[in-house]
Amino acid sequence: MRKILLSVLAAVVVVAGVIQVAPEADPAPEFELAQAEQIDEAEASPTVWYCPWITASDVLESTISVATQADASILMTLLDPLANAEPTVFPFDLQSDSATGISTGVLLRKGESPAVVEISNGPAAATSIQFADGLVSADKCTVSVPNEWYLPGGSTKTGSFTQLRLFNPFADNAEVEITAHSEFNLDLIPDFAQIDVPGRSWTTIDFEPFLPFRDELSIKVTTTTGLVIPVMIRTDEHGEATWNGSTPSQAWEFPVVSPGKLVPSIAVVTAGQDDVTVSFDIVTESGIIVDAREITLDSTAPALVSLEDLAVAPYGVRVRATAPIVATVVASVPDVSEVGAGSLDDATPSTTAPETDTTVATEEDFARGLAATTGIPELSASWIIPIETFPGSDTTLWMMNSGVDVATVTVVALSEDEFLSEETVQIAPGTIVAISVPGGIGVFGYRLASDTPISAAWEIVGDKGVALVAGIPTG
Amino acid sequence: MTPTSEATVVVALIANTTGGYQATVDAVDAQVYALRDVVVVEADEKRAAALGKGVAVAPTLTALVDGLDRTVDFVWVLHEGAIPSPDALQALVTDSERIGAGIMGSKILGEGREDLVSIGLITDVFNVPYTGLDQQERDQGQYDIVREVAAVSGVSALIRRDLFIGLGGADELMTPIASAIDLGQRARLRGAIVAITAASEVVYEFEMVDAPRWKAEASRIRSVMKIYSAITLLWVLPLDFLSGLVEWVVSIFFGKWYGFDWVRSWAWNVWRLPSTIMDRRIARSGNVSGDAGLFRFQRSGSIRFHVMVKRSASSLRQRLPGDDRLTLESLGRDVRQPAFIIGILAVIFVLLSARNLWSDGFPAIGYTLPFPSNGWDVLSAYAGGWNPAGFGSADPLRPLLAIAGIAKIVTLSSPTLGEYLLGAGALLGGIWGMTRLLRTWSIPPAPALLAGIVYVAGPGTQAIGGNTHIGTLLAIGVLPFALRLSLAPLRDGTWAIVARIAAVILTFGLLGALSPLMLAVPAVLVGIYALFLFQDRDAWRAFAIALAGTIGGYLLLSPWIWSVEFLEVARSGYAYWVASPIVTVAGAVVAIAAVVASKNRLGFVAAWAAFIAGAGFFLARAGSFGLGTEAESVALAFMSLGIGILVGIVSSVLSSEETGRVNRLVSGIGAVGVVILLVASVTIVLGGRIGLPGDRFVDELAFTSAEPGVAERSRVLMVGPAELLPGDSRMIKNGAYRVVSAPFPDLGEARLAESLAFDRYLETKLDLITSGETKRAGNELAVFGIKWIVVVGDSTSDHPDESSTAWRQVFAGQLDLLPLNAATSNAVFVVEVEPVGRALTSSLDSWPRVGWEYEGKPDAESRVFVTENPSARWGPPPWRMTEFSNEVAGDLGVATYTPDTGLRLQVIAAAVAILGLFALIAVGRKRS
Repeated sequence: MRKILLSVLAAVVVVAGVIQVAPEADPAPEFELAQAEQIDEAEASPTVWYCPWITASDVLESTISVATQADASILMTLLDPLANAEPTVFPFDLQSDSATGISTGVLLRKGESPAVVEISNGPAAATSIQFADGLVSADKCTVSVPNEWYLPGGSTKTGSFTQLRLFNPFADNAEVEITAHSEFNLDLIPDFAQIDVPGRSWTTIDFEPFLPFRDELSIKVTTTTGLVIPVMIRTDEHGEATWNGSTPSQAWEFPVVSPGKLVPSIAVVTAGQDDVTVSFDIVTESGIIVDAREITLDSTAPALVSLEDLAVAPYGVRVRATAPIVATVVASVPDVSEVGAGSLDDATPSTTAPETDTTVATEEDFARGLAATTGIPELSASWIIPIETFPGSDTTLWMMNSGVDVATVTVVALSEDEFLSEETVQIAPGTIVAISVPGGIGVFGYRLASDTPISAAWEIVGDKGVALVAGIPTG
Repeated sequence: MTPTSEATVVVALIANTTGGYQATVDAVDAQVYALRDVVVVEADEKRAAALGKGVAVAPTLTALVDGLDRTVDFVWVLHEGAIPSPDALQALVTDSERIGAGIMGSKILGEGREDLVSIGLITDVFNVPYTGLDQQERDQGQYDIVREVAAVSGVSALIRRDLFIGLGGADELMTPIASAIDLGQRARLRGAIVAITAASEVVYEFEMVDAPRWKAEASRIRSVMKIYSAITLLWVLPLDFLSGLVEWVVSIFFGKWYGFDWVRSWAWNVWRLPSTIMDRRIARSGNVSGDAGLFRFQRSGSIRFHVMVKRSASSLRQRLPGDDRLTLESLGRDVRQPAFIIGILAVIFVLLSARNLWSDGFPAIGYTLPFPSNGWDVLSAYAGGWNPAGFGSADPLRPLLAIAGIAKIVTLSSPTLGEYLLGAGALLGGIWGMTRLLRTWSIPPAPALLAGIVYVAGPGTQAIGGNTHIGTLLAIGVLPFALRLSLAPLRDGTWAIVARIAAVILTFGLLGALSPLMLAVPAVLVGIYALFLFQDRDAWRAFAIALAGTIGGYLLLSPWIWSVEFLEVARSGYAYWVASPIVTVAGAVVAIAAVVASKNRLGFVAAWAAFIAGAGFFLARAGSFGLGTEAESVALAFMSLGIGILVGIVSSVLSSEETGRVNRLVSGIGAVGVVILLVASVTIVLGGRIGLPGDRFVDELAFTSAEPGVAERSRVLMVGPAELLPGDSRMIKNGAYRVVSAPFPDLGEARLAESLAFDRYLETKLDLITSGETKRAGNELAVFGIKWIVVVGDSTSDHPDESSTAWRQVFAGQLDLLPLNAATSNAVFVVEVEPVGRALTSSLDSWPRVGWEYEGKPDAESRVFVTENPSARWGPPPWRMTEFSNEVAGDLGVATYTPDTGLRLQVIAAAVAILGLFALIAVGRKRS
């Protein structure tokens, strides 16, 4: 009896053991570091800004402008192009509501030397500007580093050259996959399947040998290991433009698209599998034209949407899409060969050569240069904008109010010691407003505070060329 | 041949307690050779007085000889109880004068004059005596010659008076046989002849035993120290020391405890060293022959080892079936006995299964980590010292560390020997224990050995190895003994009970020291046994003994026992053993066959074992009820025990001649399951690490030793999946991390205490890093002495670990870390910040960790920042808490932790209690 009882108990516990439930898999770590979006915001905390396109040589100069709203210690590190060489480190301080510009050539003049700017407090931000005689390109530095970047707006058509700089300032080696799309859809290049970027180094890829004669080139950069900061560089005979990578958003704002009366186009690419309907609103100084243009964006190819015929500059653009896309404005000098006899409209200045009786568009009415910048995905009520000015060039700050209420914006000009001036500007709904940045008095940045969300950007137009730079919202 | 002159002989009659005084005196009176006198050597005054007034008495032999005048030529030493034949003395004197012997001994015969007891002695190099005779060898005149020997027995020996005086007499500190050997050795050192004449016959019916054993050993060692040259002593003494230690360990397996004798004999010689040195000077002064003369009469090899081997074989045969002992015709049959074969195979199995422990020690993986290198450091830390896990704490270390420390000390800090002995010993102990346990139910040795193999190496035990719970794995070797001691019949008598209780408490204490949760198991198992045998008083007695063992055993675990939350220990992790379906079915088949095929008491035991195995199986998968991984391992242990018992029962029933046809068929089916389990068990031979996985951390962290001196000054932050980290780990945002010492963590770092201030400080820093609020993780981590960050697990393949990838992304995005690519299987980052150190002075010198303290250049001006959790016991004073860690003075060149006196006293009390229990066992066994 005892034996039977024990045997039955044994059987019961065995069955109970068999039906026990396996544990759930351990949840993955929840580190906020894993970012899906690339959002460059100036936060009220220590931040690190990465400036991939910095060169100081016998002909090229670079400046890094830093603006801060709070007292901050800044550590600027310029990586040395020589392998295993120690980076050049430059510490300095800024008091609250001040800004400065640091010429990197003074610190390190060995050619390419991407930079890392560590700011101990915020909100603060950094912008990099590269210039020479007849050349200027600029864009904001990057603070957030996702694993996936989109960079539309490239071109390898005749006369245009596009490069991709991959900057890895971090400890770990990065493994990067590059995917290229053009008007010919997906361009498969085996060399792009895996590119290694060692820690604390950079590599620059020229697309000309791989993807020639592409009018519309869009690049996607994916890191499988480690992190990189990509930046696109486009050059032609008129100038150079640089812009950062972005992550998709359903809305983009461009407070200014036609600096120096360059012809603007918006390069768009979708991140999804389906076609997307993209609408373009034109925001002028007097009002907004909603749905000025609408396109259907193919999921497999980028598109370059010309805006030249939609309005007379200056104007900004608001892009709206039915699914997340990435948008970049590219402002360029139009191709003269496209402008032949009889193709000019009345708005196009022209002269008539007496001998030939041919009407030709004159270039002297167009500025030199090439400019591009990424759009602004989210509006903000406050902005910090590091800025640069050059003799012979005009720097203009643009603000766009695409909302329905009047925006009252306090504009504070920042210099090295203190803010220089403060003015209040009203922006009517659906309009843009420009503020001319005085040169030569030490203005290196602006702080904007609005009662409603707006977007902001700035431009340089002049002898050196043209540059477009998006503003940086404060988080 | 008639002597040319009549030698004058005085008889020195050595009194003893044999009671043969009158018979000896009568035999002496009957000698045909005339004597001068008979003097009794009796140190006890009362006994001397009882001999009568007419009897001449001397307190010692030396005093007797010193008192003799020059006319006396010889002294005939004769023991009380010895019956010399009438011509014994004549033969001694004649042959002594003929060959010029300084010492001449008689042929000693046993009762009835048939058996040879002694025809002189030879020794080995350690002076262990050897008669050269077989047991009960008959005297057939085969040794009837006069021949030189190393020594003669003191029962009957004729010694030249002048030689005796020249040698300084007999060494009264020694036991009789040892003293006789010593005298003979010293005589030969002086060139004297020591011989035996078979013509002189003496009957001695009493046992010639040197007692007590420890004194005989001590005397032997003393004699060795006196006679050999210094060069010979350089190797003989250390070998003697070690061989005694080996004998001690081996003899444990045969129920002999020589530990105290060994310790006492050497301690006595240390105490007597001054007199030994003086006697040595006397013995070796003047013209002495070399050691070669001594070696001439020595047997090669070690007699002690020869006896051990013989005893082992004999003991093994005593435990095997067969009535014959050590006869030629039974020898062949014995060798062919299955138990003998299985026993040999079991030993080979253990040696093979533990072979890699010999060279590499325990692998460093999970909770199994190498023993700390210095045993004294560990014991000191256990006794109220600093617990080094993580950033340290004052929590007592687990008792397993005390076992590790003792193992290190006993093996003279050998890198791997202690671990090998424990690991192989656990396997052997488990097999042996199982045979002893199954003897409770009369299961023969062969089936019991099979049961033992399945028990120590079966799937359940392999799973414990897979869990890397080394304490539970070693406790496997003790568990069956704990049950056996509880269940075994008890002899009558108070001392028998006392000895049993003491043995049970010690065994349970050892079980608990190895695996605290396991300590509760025997009482529960025996309790269930008793509950179902409700009316069996012996079963309830066994339960009471087990309870006493459990309580006493737990008390021996002081002070750790008072600081631990057992429920927390039992609940940490998630118990879920994934059993192979084949093995599960095999186990079930064995269980069913055992229950069905066995009858009566054995049938009940089979059902009980099946319940134990089933309960163990259930509890090993009861994570949903809150049980953790350590509880899982303990459950697997008693599941293995149950399966082992069932294997033994099935094998026993199958091999028994009394088993009926049906039951034999059923047990035959069960044997299929046994074979499957045996095959599964044998697989642990492949790894050679008693079922433990391969090393991980020693290899993975080898890079920390690339630059000399850095590892001792730094720590490693290991991150990734918790199951790949050493020992316990902490969590932040579902990411596991662990701080360990470089070059690799030892067993002292396996178990973390609750988070303290410095731990929480690290957590805030990691929160900063993992939230992206800083890009200079190196700067944040340097303050903790962290030089390297290791991301364990797969973070690079097509299917990486989520945890590894997430952690790697955290550190990949830092600006002050350097990747370390060379020779690492994991992603490793080096902190670029300088200086980084576990103990930094105010002048930025980094002090290395030496043992479990920090040492550096003394500097009265500087302060030392010790990156451990804050405790005012760190010193030297003055102590301050700085940045949640310790700041102490640097003037002494050492930063150390002052142990807690209260905890230390508890450990000492436990140690004293353990010694007391050993003493009770020794006394109890002797008296019962």
